[in-house]
Amino acid sequence: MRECERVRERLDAYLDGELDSSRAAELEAHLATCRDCAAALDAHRKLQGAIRALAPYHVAPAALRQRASDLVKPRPAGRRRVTLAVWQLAMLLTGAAAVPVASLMLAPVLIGQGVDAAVPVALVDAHLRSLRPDRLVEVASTDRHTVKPWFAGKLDFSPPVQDLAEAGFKLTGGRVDYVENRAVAVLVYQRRQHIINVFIWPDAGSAARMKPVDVDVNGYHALGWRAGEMAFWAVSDLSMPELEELRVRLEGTQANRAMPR
Amino acid sequence: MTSNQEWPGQRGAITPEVRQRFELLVLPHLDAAYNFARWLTRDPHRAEDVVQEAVTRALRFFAGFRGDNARPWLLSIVRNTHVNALKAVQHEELRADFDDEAFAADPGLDRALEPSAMLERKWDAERLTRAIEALPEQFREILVLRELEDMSYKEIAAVAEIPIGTVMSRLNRARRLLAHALGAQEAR
Repeated sequence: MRECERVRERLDAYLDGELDSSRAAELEAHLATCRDCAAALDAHRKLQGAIRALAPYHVAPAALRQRASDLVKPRPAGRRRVTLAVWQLAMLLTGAAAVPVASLMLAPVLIGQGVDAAVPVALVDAHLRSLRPDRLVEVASTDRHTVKPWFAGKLDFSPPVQDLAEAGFKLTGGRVDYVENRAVAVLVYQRRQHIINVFIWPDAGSAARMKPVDVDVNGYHALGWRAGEMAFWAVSDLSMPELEELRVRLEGTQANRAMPR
Repeated sequence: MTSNQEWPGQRGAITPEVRQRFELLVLPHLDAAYNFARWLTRDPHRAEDVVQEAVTRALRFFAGFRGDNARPWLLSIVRNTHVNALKAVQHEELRADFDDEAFAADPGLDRALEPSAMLERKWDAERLTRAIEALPEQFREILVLRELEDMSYKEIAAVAEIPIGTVMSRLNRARRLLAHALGAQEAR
């Protein structure tokens, strides 16, 4: 029966209150006289009722709620947040050595901090390159006693390597990378699905410790700081508050203070 | 194809005012975001990751958000985050282009919703959950948005980025597939 067919097609919309009143009236009129269709509606209702009653509604776990709330909180005072616009990124990546650095918005901020403006951009570039297959680590190990000595003979400094697994940052390995024509140590950590590259190189710099700088390069986060005569940059798509957490933990336990050779 | 004209998605400065408005309009939908992510990923850890990333993205684009109902907007970001994550990991269950028509005329499906077949049904939460989780993603997501989030067809269309007509047909098939799956379990 054509009418039953049409009614069946509209049953869901009727059940969900999405049928306009004239069509709903038509349908109800049919249901009053057609036992099969009325039963079909009833069956639909039962299924819907079961789903709504039994299927679990999962609420956000407390830890997630906390992290989300932290994300929204305003930035801590005394920290400069620098965001590079795509055009600035493009200019810097295409070897814009010809572009006077002072013309970039972020330059005064970073240079005032003793940071070359091109560095975070180059590091995000290196980070992205490292995500290609087989490029991430040259020594793959979760054991810092394996990773740390691996750098000997490859670099003229020994980076501090820490095991932060308990804090939710798994050491995955290390490699040597080249940034701005300089060989740097890279420690690779992982949190959930996020890869974090921690670039380390010696930087005596000014006597005063550099305040941490965080830079957003087209959605990737780069957090830089100086400690123990080393410059550190953590680069990831992980959220900035979590990178900050990593920084605090790395700075906290200076068990293996790096020594220049 | 539903347009996203209501959601310009422009990045803007994240001022304290933007953060405040975000906290007021968007964060209350965190549970909805997690629930949706959980049913999509079927894994509590991946769901957390998806939600966290979605909230980060949402904050970035919030300056361009207009309106007072951020729930469909947030859930569409959750959905896109999930889809992108699947692509990145090259998950085996990558969303293929399911042919809606392939699920069209199946008398077995229709019979499953017949009243007599439903009479002796005893369902429990676990069986139902597994049956919903086993649904192909494009049907599962519509069902969750309708039955668990109580969204209108229009809202569902916006989140899933499909026309309202497709919402209706997918919902119909989702229900029939589910009834059929539950019936098949009963038969054992």
